[in-house]
Amino acid sequence: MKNYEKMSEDVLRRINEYEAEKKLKRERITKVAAAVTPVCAAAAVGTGLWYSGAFKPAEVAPSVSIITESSGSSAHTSIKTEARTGISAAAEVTEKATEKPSPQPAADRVPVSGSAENEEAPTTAKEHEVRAENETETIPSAATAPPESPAKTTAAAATAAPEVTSTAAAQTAPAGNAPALREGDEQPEFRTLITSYPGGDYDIAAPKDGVVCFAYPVRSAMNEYGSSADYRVAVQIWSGNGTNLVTDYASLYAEAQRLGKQGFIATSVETYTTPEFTEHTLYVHGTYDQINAFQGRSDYGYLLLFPYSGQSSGSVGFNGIDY
Amino acid sequence: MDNGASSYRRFRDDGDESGLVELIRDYKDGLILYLTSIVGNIQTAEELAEDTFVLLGTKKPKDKGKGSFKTWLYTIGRNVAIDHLRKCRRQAFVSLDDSAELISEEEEVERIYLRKEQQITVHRAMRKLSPDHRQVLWLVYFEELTCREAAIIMHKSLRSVESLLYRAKKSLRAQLETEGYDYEKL
Repeated sequence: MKNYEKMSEDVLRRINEYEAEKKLKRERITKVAAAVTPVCAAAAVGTGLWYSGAFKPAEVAPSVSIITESSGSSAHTSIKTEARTGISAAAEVTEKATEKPSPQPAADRVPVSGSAENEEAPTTAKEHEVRAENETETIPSAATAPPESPAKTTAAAATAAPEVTSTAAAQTAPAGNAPALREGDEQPEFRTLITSYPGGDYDIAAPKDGVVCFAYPVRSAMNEYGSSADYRVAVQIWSGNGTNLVTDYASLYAEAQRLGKQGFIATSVETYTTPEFTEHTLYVHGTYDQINAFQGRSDYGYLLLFPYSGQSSGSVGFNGIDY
Repeated sequence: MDNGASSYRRFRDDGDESGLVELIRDYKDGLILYLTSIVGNIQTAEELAEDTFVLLGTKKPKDKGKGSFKTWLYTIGRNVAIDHLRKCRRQAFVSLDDSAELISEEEEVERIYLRKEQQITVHRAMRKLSPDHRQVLWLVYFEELTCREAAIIMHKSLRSVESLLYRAKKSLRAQLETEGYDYEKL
């Protein structure tokens, strides 16, 4: 049997051992935590950056930007050109699809911009940027006819598309979604785009071959806004002296390419597909002068109209405002 | 007289080791004999008593102040002993030589702690009783605790402790008579 002194000694020794072990354990935990915490923090930050997409490489724009999105029920094909500078970019083709079965105002859609490569002068840039940069250039364009008097319907002589003679230096757009402006660039000028104009229901005669007609709202808008705005109009193409409406995609696409070479800012063929029907529509986007000097083929008749301005329906919209 | 509460507080709050030494001096033998009544082995009881004091020194539990410090200490000791019994479910086998040695050790503690020959005789007779009877007799007659305090330590109700005490006394009387003692004189 231990006496109380021996037992006290043993008890105090065991207590000290326990305290020392506890302290050692605490120190060990502190060391491990100090080592592990930065690793965990780095892992957490890395995971966060990974999922935020910071490590994904920026999408590099191909030399010929053919972007195809095919989902939903409608497709949009645009052919963009740079009209003011005379730089033709007919090779830039953008196919775009939206899920909206109903034809939304096409003007609200800004065509996907990217690089454009021409047979003669490859040009890549966002359209606003290119326009802003090239405004100082003085390369003559074929589509610079003076504005005509505001006639209700104006017929223009159908002539062959002008030769594109521009040899502007190729420009490279920033890759992916990088900022469009480079260091030293001036702020681009943004212009008003007219896509509709108030107007009532009325009948328009189908144009005969070689005739270009402007629907009343288009002409009214051009008279009102003149060169201060750009215009995006739908182009109906008739053949057989106004007897047949050209609706097949291949013909409209060929026309879009041909018109693109004329120097319009953008030409496009939009396709709306619903379970009931499929409809293709040719659009041109140009300045006052370009629209005014629209030149068609001699075997086609052309009707330029705002599709949502009441020429064919009672609903009239103008830049998002219902009248 | 606070039965060691102030010594324990001095050790717990101020880190004064002499407080713990005082507790060990005052309560070691009584706790060992009480734990012997639970585990039936004085060596194990001694180890468990030491474990009880180590527990006081490491965990530093707080006395809730519901009873005396002694009651609280014995309750902790009993819990330690019950934990030990749970861990060692198998019966501990003790050789005859060891048994004789253990008995002599217990007698030595008896002499130190009980002092009176009469009490020693009764305590020896208690060895033959059941653990519960041994415990309650020890707490009430040797440690001079009340039935309520014994109930707190044994985790039983007051009524069951009173009943247990009555039966323990009867068993003790029978045991003493068997061994030739006159119970009434004790």
